[in-house]
Amino acid sequence: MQRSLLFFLLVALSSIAIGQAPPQGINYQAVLYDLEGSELPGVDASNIVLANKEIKVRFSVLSGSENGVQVYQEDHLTSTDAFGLFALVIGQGNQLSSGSFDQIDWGSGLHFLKVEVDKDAGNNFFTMSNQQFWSVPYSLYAEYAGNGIESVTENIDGSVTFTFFDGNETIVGPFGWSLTGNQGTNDSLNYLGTKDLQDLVIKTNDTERMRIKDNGEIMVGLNGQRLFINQLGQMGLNSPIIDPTAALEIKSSNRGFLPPRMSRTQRDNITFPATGLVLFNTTDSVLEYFNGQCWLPTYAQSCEDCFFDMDLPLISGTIDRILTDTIAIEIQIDQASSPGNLVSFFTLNNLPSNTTTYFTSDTLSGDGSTFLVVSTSIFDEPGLYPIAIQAVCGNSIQIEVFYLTIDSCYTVTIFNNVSQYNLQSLNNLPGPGTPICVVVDVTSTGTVNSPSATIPSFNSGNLDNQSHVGVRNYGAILGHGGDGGLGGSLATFGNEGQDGGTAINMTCKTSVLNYGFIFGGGGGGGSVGFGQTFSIPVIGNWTLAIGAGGGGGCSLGLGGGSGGSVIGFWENGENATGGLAAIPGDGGVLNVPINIPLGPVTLTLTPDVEGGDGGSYGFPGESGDLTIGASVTVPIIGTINLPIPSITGFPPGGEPGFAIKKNNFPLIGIPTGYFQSNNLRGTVNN
Amino acid sequence: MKIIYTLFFLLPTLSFAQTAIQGSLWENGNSSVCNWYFADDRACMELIPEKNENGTTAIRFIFNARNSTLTVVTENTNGSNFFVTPTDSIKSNLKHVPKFQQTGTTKEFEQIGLCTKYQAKSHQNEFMAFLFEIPALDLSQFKDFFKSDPLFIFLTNEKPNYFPAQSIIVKANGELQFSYQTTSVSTNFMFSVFDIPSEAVEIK
Repeated sequence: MQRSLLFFLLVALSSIAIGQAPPQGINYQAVLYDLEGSELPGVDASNIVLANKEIKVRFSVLSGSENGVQVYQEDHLTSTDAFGLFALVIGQGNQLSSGSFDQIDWGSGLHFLKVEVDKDAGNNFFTMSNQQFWSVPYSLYAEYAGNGIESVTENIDGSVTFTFFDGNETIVGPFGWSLTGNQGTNDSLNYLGTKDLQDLVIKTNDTERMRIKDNGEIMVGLNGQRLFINQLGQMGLNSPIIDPTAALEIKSSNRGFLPPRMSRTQRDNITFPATGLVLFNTTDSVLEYFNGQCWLPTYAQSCEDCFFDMDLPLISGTIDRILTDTIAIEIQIDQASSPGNLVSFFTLNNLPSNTTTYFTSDTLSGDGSTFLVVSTSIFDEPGLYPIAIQAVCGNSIQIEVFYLTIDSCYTVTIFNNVSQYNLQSLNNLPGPGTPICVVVDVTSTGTVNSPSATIPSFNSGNLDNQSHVGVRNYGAILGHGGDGGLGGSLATFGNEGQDGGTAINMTCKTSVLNYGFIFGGGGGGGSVGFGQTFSIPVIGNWTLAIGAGGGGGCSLGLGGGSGGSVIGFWENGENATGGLAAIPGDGGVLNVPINIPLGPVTLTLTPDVEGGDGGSYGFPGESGDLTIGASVTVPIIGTINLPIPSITGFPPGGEPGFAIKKNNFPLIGIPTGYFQSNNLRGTVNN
Repeated sequence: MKIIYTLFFLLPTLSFAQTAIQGSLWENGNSSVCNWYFADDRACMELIPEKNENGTTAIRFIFNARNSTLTVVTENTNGSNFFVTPTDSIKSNLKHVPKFQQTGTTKEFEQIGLCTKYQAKSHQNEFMAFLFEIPALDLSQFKDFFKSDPLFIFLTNEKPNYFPAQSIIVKANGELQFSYQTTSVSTNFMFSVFDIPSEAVEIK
């Protein structure tokens, strides 16, 4: 730890005293810094000089290399001054080695000086430097030269010229490049390399790492198999033989080419990218190049080309046909490389015949989302249906597949004639709390009717109101006709016809495919009558009861009777017939003159009474009409026509029955309204 | 008898502009009081049914020759009276109108003295009437109102100042079909018989 806190800065280099018997030594000066510093109040003082401190310094001279053989070693016990400076003479210390300083053979080769310091003046040394001796120490060699050295000159090329007193000069060196840097170099003189026809080899760990061949080819790696640069400037990676057309050839069977990777933002921050610059766009996950105008995927040629990414956040979904018949599939478009182009959407699918699709927007300009809305019918076959979603932009096409699951439903079939059909109870289907979907097929031989206009012919029954019923009708679902209006008391003599019966009564969401007949019952005809005491000239106040019943509506509506009241003049309405070709009943007709003898005069009433006719399927019953003419035959005078107060406001006929009574539940397949078609008659509404 | 004499006395002098004739009418088994009132160009036939099952107490047929209007006023027991003025013309019930001829035979009626007998005959009926003269009477102005009785048609056309003391219609089988008989004649009556009661409701 202590050693790591020391830093040794050499500030003065050694010098040699030259003479007849030169003193053996090399001056050495240095300033010692303490990396640990001193603890000063409030100050974090690191890297300060180690001042006024007793230290021990050990010098070692090594031969051949910095790890070479130690040929001399000594130590010095000394102190730093107030500036951390200390000065020693190498060769004048406490000799530690067997050999003495003056026995060092400086001329035998390279020598290195190793300097070690213990700042606590012990023997726990820290190596401060280990550097080669250069020219100066070799002056010591002069002691052994036969002709004394007059001067030593250090040449530019690193060599040293010894000038002897006899005038001869000897040049030693140069000694090579310094590993710590060289100064005063001349590239025509100072270089690494060979002058003969030999390769230049660079090794580490005694292994060749690089070879500059005598012909200039450069080979890096073991046997030059990693990087190869030939004389033509071609480069090969793992390929000493480079295709003549390639500037760079990379070969590998287990690695790839890794270009620069950056986000779209980082890419766009490149200032003036070169044409042809290649990188990998991590935002869009695409290898791109700059064509001089814009960044393009490698497969693109023009900034005008349309390239985009299509993505489906969800690739599968289910339509249960109970709570929903529809699914919206999100389609995301990313046109990062060529924004603003128009992308069109199409689907390829084999969906069931009644399932429809549409895009909320079948084109998209630029980035964004659209939705493919798929709506199924309860009548479609359940199953798994792949839907291919195709996006087209210019010559670019992308396809994603969405897997749609259509759940199955209960199925019920009606083959025969049934009356007052309750879907839930007759088939033991789940009731409230368990919403289901159920498909009812009414075959061409099936007929659904009702014994009364007040009872629907087909009723979904007590299903959960979140359920979904599908009615696929090839048969006949016929509402019962309303009965014709009856007679009544004097106060309510005429009565309205009964409303026609409902063919289908919904108790939950319902889909209908009608290939057969769905007819609401016809309304019963209103009855008419005149039943009150009124004033007739000659007679005065007179009570008359006259009327006729309404006809029954289709099908099987009963003609109106007198209603149990004793009415002086009454005619029943006719009953309607049944079946698809049912004929509504006519209202009762009463038009025979009525003579009322009143003493010497005779009152003759001429009624024209007609009850309202019953309605055909889906039609209302008619209101009746009643007029009465009156005349009095008086002896001597003759016959006088008398005015009769007009009689109006007869009760209406019954309303037509619902073909489909929605009861505020959604109806799919048939719009709301009133219909008189071959297949659908009556009202479809709430 | 005093009254009878009075009538005999008055008979030759019935030249007043107003005349009241009380009588009775029978037809098809129904009897009614039948009173006539004449005043200038107005006449009134009042029928009071013997049975008033419908509450009808009187029916007045008021003829106005000047205006050619007929007003029928019905009075009821409950006090609700009505009147009507038919706009249609009166229709005749006769297919043929037999012609009355004087047979020369007279009959003395207790009330009005001797009357002249007239008879007529059709395919189905025989008509017989005893007429007495009322000089002030002019039935001709009412001929548009009497269309169903051959006798009154005869009177309005040929004997406008005669009135039947008795009139009988007999079916071909001898069964009585209709009879009228005057019971009294006077010149004094209330002209209100030509009026419509104020409380009467017009029926239109």
